[in-house]
Amino acid sequence: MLEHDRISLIRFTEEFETVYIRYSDKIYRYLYFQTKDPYLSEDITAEVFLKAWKKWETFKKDYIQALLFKIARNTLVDHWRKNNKKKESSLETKIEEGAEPFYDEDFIGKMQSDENVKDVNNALQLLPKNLKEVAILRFIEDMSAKEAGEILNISEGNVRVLQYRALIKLKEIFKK
Amino acid sequence: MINEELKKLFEELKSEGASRKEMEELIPVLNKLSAIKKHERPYLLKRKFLEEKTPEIKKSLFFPKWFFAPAIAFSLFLFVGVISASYASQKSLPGDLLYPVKRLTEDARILVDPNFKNEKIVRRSEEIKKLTEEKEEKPKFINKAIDDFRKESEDSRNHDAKKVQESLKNLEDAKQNVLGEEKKQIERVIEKTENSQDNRELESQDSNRNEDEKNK
Repeated sequence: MLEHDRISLIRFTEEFETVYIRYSDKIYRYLYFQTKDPYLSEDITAEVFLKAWKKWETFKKDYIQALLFKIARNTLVDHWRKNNKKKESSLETKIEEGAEPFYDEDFIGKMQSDENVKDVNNALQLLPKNLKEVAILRFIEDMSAKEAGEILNISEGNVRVLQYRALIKLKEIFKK
Repeated sequence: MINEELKKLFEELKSEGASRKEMEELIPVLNKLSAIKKHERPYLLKRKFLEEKTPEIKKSLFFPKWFFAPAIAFSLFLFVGVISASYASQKSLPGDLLYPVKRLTEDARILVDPNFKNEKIVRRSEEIKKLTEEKEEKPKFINKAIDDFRKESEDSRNHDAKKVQESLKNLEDAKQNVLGEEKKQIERVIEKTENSQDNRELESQDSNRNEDEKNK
């Protein structure tokens, strides 16, 4: 390996580690409210970052958050598509396949027993898909309307319309 | 959500037709959603992913596939070289390129097997015999071989008698092959070794006699 390549690889690895530490929770939470499954969310989060690493060199680092969410969305769509064809692989199957899972049961337990998480999760499941995604990106992950629009492939104006509708709906749900 | 962001959001909602009262009613909803952020996966879990799920990254960074190849090839080459040289050296004679290797392997072998010391004097005597049998005259090396034998056999009283006898026979054969100064040297060495052996026998007899007297 040339010295130049080696230095680049060290730099990429450091960048990747920083980005993972910073954004993996956001991706995890996005996936958690989409799937309601903490284990599956962890698996897909790992897949998202492994996919990102493979294309790291070509990534525009200014748009890293949007790119990671786009990968997460696409990976989730692929997952649903595959699941329609075959049964979801269980945790046991994954262990048998040699893909050793790593989860933090304490964290999962705390998150699942949190009343606020339960309320928000239940409420989000009652929203249409587009409103749910806008609500997660805008109000849980604090993204700008522009960034959320980039991820969802809609205009900034559309995001503003959807976010208003989402908030009104959520307010009604929480009132019940 | 910090105040600046909230202000901006309210402007956006206002532009969508939200009233002030409506926006105030949305604050608890926003707080509820925002509170989710406190749930972050443990740092150790993230480190574990980086260390275990991306081994190819670490491997390629610190241990490229060919990293150990030169070291392994060199070690293998060295190992084969040392074994071959020590094997080939066993038939060498004084003056040969590999002779020092032969002596080194003998010294190493004595560390493992002290009885090999007896074999050494036989080997030295065989070397003298072989050198004297060669057509090409090598007086310098014959003298060196005789010297080596002398040194090895100085302590011949501690050597196995059979091996000493075998060495003396080799020296007698060697004596027949040479003339002049070399012959005289070999004769002197034989004489010295024989005397040494005789003394050993006498000492042994004395010691037995003393023990018998003590027993009486």
